[in-house]
Amino acid sequence: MQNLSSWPTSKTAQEAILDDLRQRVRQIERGSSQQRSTAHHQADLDLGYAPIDRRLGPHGLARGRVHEIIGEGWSTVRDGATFGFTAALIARLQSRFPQGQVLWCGRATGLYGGRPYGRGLAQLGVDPGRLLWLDGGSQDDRLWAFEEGLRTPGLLAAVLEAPPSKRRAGGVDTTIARRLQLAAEAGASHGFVIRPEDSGVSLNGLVESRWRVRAAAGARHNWWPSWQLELLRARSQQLGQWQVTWNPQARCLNSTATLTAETPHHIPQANTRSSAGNGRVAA
Amino acid sequence: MAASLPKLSRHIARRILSLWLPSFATDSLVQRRPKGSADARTRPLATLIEQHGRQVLLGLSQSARSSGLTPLMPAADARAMVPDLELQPAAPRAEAASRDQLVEWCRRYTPWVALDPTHSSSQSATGPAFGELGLWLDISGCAHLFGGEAALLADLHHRLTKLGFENCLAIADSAGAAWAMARFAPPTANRTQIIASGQQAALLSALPIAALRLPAAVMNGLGLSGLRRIGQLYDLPKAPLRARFGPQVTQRLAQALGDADEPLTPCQPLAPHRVRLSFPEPIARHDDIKLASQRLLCRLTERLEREQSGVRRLQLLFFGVDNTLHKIAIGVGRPRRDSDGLLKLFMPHFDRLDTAFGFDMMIVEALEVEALTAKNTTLAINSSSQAATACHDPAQTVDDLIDRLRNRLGHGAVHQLAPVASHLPERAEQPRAHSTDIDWTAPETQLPDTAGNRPLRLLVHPEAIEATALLPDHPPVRFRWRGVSYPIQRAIGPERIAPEWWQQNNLATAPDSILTRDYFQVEDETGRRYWLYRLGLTERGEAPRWYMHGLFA
Repeated sequence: MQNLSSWPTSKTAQEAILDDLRQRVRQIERGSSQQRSTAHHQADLDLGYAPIDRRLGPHGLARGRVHEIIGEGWSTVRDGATFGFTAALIARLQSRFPQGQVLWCGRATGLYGGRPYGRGLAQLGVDPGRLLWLDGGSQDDRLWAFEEGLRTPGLLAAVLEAPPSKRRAGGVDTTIARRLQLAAEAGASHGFVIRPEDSGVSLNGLVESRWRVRAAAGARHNWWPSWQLELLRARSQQLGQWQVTWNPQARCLNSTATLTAETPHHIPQANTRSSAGNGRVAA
Repeated sequence: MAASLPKLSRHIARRILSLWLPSFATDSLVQRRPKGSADARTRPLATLIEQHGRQVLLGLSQSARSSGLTPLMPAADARAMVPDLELQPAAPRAEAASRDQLVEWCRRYTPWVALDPTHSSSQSATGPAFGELGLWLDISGCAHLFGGEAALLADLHHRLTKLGFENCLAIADSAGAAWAMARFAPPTANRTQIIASGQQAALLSALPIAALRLPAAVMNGLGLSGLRRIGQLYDLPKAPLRARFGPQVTQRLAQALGDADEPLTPCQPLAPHRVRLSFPEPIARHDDIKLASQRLLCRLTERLEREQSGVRRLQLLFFGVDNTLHKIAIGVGRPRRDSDGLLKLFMPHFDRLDTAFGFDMMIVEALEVEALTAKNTTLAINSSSQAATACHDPAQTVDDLIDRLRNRLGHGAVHQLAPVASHLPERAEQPRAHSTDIDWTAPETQLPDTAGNRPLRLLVHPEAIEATALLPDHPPVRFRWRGVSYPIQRAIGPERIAPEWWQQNNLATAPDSILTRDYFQVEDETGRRYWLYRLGLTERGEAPRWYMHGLFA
C-alpha cells in the first residue's frame, strides 16, 4: 500500500496510483484476473450513446456478467419496452460479432405478451436467424436452460424472461443469483434477465447492472422506439435517467430530444389503400 | 448381433426360437387386473366376441380348454357345460398393447423378434387367431450369452410362467420346424423342445399335416388323399404334389426342413449397434446405473471409433427383475461418440426412472449412426483435459447445448424463426428446428415497401378490445384492453391485409381468419405502442370488431 506521506502531488502521478489500485481491486474480484484481458474489454458492450457510456465506465455492459432489465410493475406484459431494449442490446452485439447465436428463453403463453415476431425484430436491426428460442417448460426448467446457456462459451448472449411468480416473492434468492453469476463467468457471455418490477426471481445486489425501461413518447416523424431509461445499479455507482431513441439503421441509441429537433428524413406511412398482391386486396 | 444379418447366416447356423402363448388373450387379461385376486388363475376364463348376432367364445384359458370348451362355441352352450366359467368381452386394443409390450420385452434375448403372421392377419392359415400369440426369436449367435440354448429356453419359460403366460417353446434350425414343434410336439414336462441342428426331418415326420401352416382348403385336400402325417410327404414326388395341391405344400415343407429360406421380418428396425450388460445381482442405485451406463457407452463408442462413425439417436433399455421394461431415448444434432457427453444427456432421465426391484440387464442401442471422422475426438483425448476444453469449437458447444436442452425439455423446445411468404402476420413465420439455412433476406419473403411496421411480439390469439373511433374507418381514439383504458395520441394506418384467396375454404373452420383486417399502429399517451386491427369492413355492412394483435418496442 502507498504510504500517505509519499502521496504525490502531481495529478498524473495520482492518476497512475489510482489506476494501479483499480487494477489490484479488479484482480481481487472473482474471475477477473485472467478473463478480463484486453481482448475481453473490446468484447464488452457499449450502448453507442456517450452520456450512458460515460456512466458505465470503460467496460460498458461487461461480458461474463448478468444484467437485469425490469419493466413496469404489471403482472402481465402490457408493453414491449423491456423486450425492445433487450433486442436493441442484442442487435448491437450482433453487429459487433458476425458469428454466434443468442439463446432467448421466452414464454409463449398468451397472457405473457405473445410470441416473438421475427419481422419486427428484423425491423429493429436484429438478425432473427441468429436467435434460438426456448419455449415453455416450468420456471425451474427455464432457469436451468438459462444457466446452461450462460455456461456455453459459444453463445453471444443468453436472455431469460422471468415471469412474475409469487413463489419466492418477498425474499431474494441469492442461490439463484450466485449460480447465474458463476455460470456467466464460466461462459464469458452476456446474460440478460428481463422481469416485471415485482417478479419472484429478483437478483437484487448480485447483478452487474440494472435498468428500468419505460415506454416514452417518440419522435413524431418515424416509428423508432423511444424509451425512458433508468440506470438503477452500476459498478461505477453513477446512476442516471435518459430519454433515448433507438436508431435501427445505425444500431445505436440517440437522445430523443436531438432526434426530434432534426429534420424528418424518413416518414413511414402505411398506404391506406394498398395495391393488390399476394394475399392482399384493394377493397 | 452380427449373426442376425442375413448374409452371415450361412456361416453361423441359424437357430430360431418359436414362442407360442396358446391362451394369450385370457392370460393378458388376468395380468392387467389388479393383483391379489387369488382364484383368477384357476377359474376357467374365456373372452367373447359377437358373431352373426350371437356371442361366441374366442380366447380360452388353460382350464377352460381342459374342461372341453373350444373357440367359436356359443357362450350359452359354454355356460351350460362349465357353470363357473367367467366370460369377458374381448379387448383387441388392450391385447395389442400387451403384445407389443411382450415383443419389446423379448428383445432382452435377441434384437430380432418377429411376429408370427398367422396370428395377426385375418387371412391366416389356421383360421382366426383364437386369442393366441406366436413369436419367433432369431437367437443365432445369442444363446451363449445366456449359457446355452437349454439355459435360455429355461430362463424364458420361467420368466413367462412367472408373468402368468402359459407358453410352449421350441428351438430349431428353421422357423417352420420351430413353429411346428412348439404347437404339435408330444407334451414334455415343461413344454419346451430343442431340436438339435439337422434333426428336424426325423422329428417332424410324426407330426400332423396341420403343423405345416397350410390353408384349411389345402389341408382338407391332403386329408382326403390319406396324407395325415408330414413324414408321408417326404418320399412323394414334388411335381405332382405341387400340381395337385398348389405350390404351398412343397414350399412349406422345404421351409420346415430348412431347405428353403424363410425370411423373418423383425418387429422393430434392427439397431446397427447394440451393447448388452447383464448383472448377477439386480442394480437399483442411481450411482450403479450411472456406472453401468458409462461402461455400456464406452464399449459402444469404442466400436463406433473403429468404424469411424457417430450416433444420432441412442436408446437405453432397462430390464427389471420384475420383468418390466424401461426405455430412455435421446437424440443429438450431429453425430457424436464421446461417451461422457452422451452419458450427460442420459443423466437427467435417470432421476425419473422407476427402479422398483432393480434391473438385471441393460442394453444400449445406437438407432441411427452416421459417419464421423476421427478428427474431433482424438484431439480431445490426446491433449490434456484443459486444452481439450479450451479448444472447443464454439459452434460445437452451441450444438451440445441445444442437444442438452432438447433432451430435457422436448424436441420442440428450442427452435428458430423462419420466414414464410405470406402477408398474414400469424402465418408469416413459423418455428423451425435449429438449422443454418434460414434466410431472412430471401426476396420472396420480404414485406412489400408499402407495408407498415411489424410488432416485436405477436399475441398468439388476438384479444378482443373495446375501441372507440370517431368515424367507422378512422383509427380509434381510445381503447380498452385487459381492463385498462388507453387514450391514443398517435396512429398510423390503416394497413389493409386480406387473407389469401385460397383460404376461402377455411370459412367453416375459422370464419374470422378469412375476413379482411385493417391494421393500425397506435401509440398511447405514455408512448406504449400497439398493433391493433379492425375486423370486418363497414362498407360491406359488416359490424367492425377490434382486436389487439401485437406489441411494439
